[in-house]
Amino acid sequence: MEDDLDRLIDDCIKEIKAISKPLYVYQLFEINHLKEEVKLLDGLFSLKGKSISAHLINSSKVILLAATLGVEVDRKIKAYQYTNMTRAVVLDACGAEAIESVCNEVEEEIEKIAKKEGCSITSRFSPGYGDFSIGFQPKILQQLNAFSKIGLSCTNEHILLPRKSITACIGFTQQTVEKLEKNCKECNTYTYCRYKREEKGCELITGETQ
Amino acid sequence: MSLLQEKPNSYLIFDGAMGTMLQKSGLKVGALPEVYNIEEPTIIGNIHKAYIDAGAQVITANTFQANELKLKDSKYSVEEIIEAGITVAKGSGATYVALDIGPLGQMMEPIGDISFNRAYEIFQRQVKAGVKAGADCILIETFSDLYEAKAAILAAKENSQLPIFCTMTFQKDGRTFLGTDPITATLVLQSLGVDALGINCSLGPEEMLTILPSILKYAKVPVIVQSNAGLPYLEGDETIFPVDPVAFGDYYKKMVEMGVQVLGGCCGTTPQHIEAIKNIVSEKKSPKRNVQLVTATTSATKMVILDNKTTVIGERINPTGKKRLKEALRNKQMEVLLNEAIEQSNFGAQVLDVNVGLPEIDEKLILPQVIKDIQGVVDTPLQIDTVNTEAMEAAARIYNGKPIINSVNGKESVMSKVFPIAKKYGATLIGLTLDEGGIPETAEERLTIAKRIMERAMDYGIPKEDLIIDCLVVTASAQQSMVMETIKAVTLVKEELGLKTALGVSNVSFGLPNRELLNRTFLATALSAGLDAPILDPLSKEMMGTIDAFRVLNNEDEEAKLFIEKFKSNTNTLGVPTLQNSQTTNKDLTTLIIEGRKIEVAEEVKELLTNKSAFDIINQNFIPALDEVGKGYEKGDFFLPQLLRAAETVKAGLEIIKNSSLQEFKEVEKGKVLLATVKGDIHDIGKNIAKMLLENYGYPVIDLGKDVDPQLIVDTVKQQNIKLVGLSALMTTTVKNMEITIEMLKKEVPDCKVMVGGAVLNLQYAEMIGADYFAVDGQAGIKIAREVLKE
Repeated sequence: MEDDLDRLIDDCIKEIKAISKPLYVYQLFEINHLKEEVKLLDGLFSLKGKSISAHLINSSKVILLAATLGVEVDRKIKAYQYTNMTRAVVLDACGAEAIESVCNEVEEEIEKIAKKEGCSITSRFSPGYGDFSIGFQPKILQQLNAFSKIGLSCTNEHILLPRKSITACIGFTQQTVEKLEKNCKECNTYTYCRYKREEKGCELITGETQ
Repeated sequence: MSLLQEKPNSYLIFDGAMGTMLQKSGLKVGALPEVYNIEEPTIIGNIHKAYIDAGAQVITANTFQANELKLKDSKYSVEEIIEAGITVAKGSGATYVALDIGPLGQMMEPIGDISFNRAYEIFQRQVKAGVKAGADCILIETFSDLYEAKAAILAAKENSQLPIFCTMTFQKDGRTFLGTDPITATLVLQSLGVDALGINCSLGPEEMLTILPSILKYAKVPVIVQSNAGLPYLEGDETIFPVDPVAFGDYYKKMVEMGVQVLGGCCGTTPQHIEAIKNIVSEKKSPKRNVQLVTATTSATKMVILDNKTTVIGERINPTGKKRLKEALRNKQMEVLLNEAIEQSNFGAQVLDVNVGLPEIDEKLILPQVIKDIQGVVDTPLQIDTVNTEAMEAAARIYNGKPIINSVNGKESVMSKVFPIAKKYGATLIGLTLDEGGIPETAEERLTIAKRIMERAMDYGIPKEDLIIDCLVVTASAQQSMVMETIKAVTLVKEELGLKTALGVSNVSFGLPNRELLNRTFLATALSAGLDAPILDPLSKEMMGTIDAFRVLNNEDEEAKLFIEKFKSNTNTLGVPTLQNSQTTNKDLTTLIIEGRKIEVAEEVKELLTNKSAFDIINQNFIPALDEVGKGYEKGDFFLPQLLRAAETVKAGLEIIKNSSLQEFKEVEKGKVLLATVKGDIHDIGKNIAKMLLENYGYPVIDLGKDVDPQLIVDTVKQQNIKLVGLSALMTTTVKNMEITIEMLKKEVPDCKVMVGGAVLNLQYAEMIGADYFAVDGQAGIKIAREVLKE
């Protein structure tokens, strides 16, 4: 029985690779720090909120990044919900993992740019983290011209479409960055999450199932 | 103005980039350039003038993003921006001025939340403003979504008399972001009646050269190219477009030789690039192209060309004689129809006939809905099957691609209603060889009707290749002597008229035993006579076997590759992914359910039904098994995929019971539950899981889908006397709509309980927004349903 499940997961990993068309776009901005606001010089707007300001506090530049797996993933997950719900859910999870891994790769590319400037990079910080409102989605997309460059848009309620997509801010800093451990207590599902581990967070589980 | 119509072999030169030219004069990347029409008209006018001096005949007004979505936060209205843009362009001395319409910048259904009608309204506003301001033509450009292009084209045609130019933008893999290939785009756009079509943006001229041949092969109208000046790269902070005017001219020379007639530039091009184009085409005549005329149907991402190969049309989405489908249509259980669509496609149907004709159903409302929903889950082209011309038009209008319409016939009253619909929406049309006198007995008489249909269609401007003739199958039991006349008529229609043919083959066996034997023998005969598109049940192994065999014998399946692949062994012949192994086991039903063995469970249920009631099977077998898995899931012994697999297996078992006795099944049903993802939210996988679990436990679910208006929820609760509502939201921003919905429900139907779920919620939050219950997951929903709707 567990073999069946393993096979399904392997199949879905293969399928997500086959149907994804990963595309990304990013742009580097110099920044000015104001109170709870990070102003993009030569940009159209400011990043606002305590948490994004804190995240970029030691940074002099920021990269805005947008990445997507494309629409076919959405189509397939939707279709499987009618014929094979189990596969739909597993494929959905694979999609979430796949877009993370695309971003990890792009991050390596960005890290090289930072190194040339003698900087290291902060972790990715996306709209929706802390008090950094998802209302910034359309602004980031417009700034990057993401709709025409990678086909990424968002709804009036700021949901990214295609669904398996990410936008994020990555700071360039001269200080060494401590990689933050994921902390379960900050998560909204903390009280009832089935995957919670007090020390290392849910990453432990994703590591196990791979 | 007729632009190209006056001189069909001439060229038309458009201008080049506006946005990148403006960025050079200080516009920030990402900012809306359209505002300059009002604030800096001189800058815009000077760019126009430079292009005119370089040789551009058509100046594209600076209105690309002037739609109400993009201008939401602007201080100027759509009308103001467009009027100013056209005025500046006209003032620059242009021969012709084009109203420029770009994509909305948000996604349409089914991926996004902009409906076809909403998109139409937005474009309509731009078209009206453009016409009022005096535009000479409309350029619909840079579209990735064919559906969105269709909305824009219809808006242009229904609100203006102006010529329409339409370009789509392709990526390096030869498809648009939404997956449309150039041939599909060409077939659909020209069917919708654009005056010229082609490609622009995203790519440089070199990359476009590889995409152009397939467009030029099928385009009956002039082809447009507006290429970027190469693929851009960053040098420091500067974006560089690497193709200079000289190299640009060299590429365009090749395109002109291939037969491209409308030429211009996109991002990164300058007046010098346009001058290079002018130097190539001055005084020249365009070479004549050999255009391939094809009978075809498409979705947005898949095309089926009826060439010399057999095309299978699936007939199963039709309620006639199907209890389960009738029930599903009455109760709007779309998933039953969607399943039929997906299954038929998996089993080899290349086109799906869609018929929802039931006396008690408002076809005009339901048919477009069904078509839309099916297109959301399969890319197989569809055949709109109805005699109700209002439903036909509504469905053809919202269809994404080039549909087939089934059908017209030789009756003048029918032709005069159906032809305008087929023409307007660019459908391929099935013509039945019958008229006021009924179905003629002889093949020759049917040919005469086919000829009349063809000639009348052409009077309406429908090209001959958009017609398929159905010579009509009669039943061998009633009109035995006429069966072979149909076969003869197929050959005659093909030879005499050069038209493609379709036949609903299964009609032949009504009223006789061993229908499949008759059907497949008739099918083989018809195929030999030249039948192009049999309409049949693709789930019938016998019928599809005959198709597979004929494809070998008719030299369609080269080296019999597909045939060998399919028949070399019997395992997984359909290439459909499956979870279960089907070796026989002696395990009890509970174990089989837990292990997700759908096939064995189905067998077991059939067996049990011979001596057990539906009630007993559900309560003694299904529910205990589900409870066991549910408990294991709560304890952490099982994970979500295992819970779902068991649930899907029970669902398959329940389907057997429903098919065996719908009546008995209905008696077992418990209280109804309404589920919806709240307004503004489009996450629905969690809701769909909850739905499946609830249905398995016998609670009928009224599923209102996603992005659901609170009022619709309240109204449905009232109308159907529902006692439990489940709401889902996944975003902090959409929880406010959940709260609004709960507030309305509590005010208007206070005795209805509300449970809420979604990753953004927790118990405290749920209480705060006034919910009665917090469902941490689908399994928790069952407990709540048991408590609220006491059994």
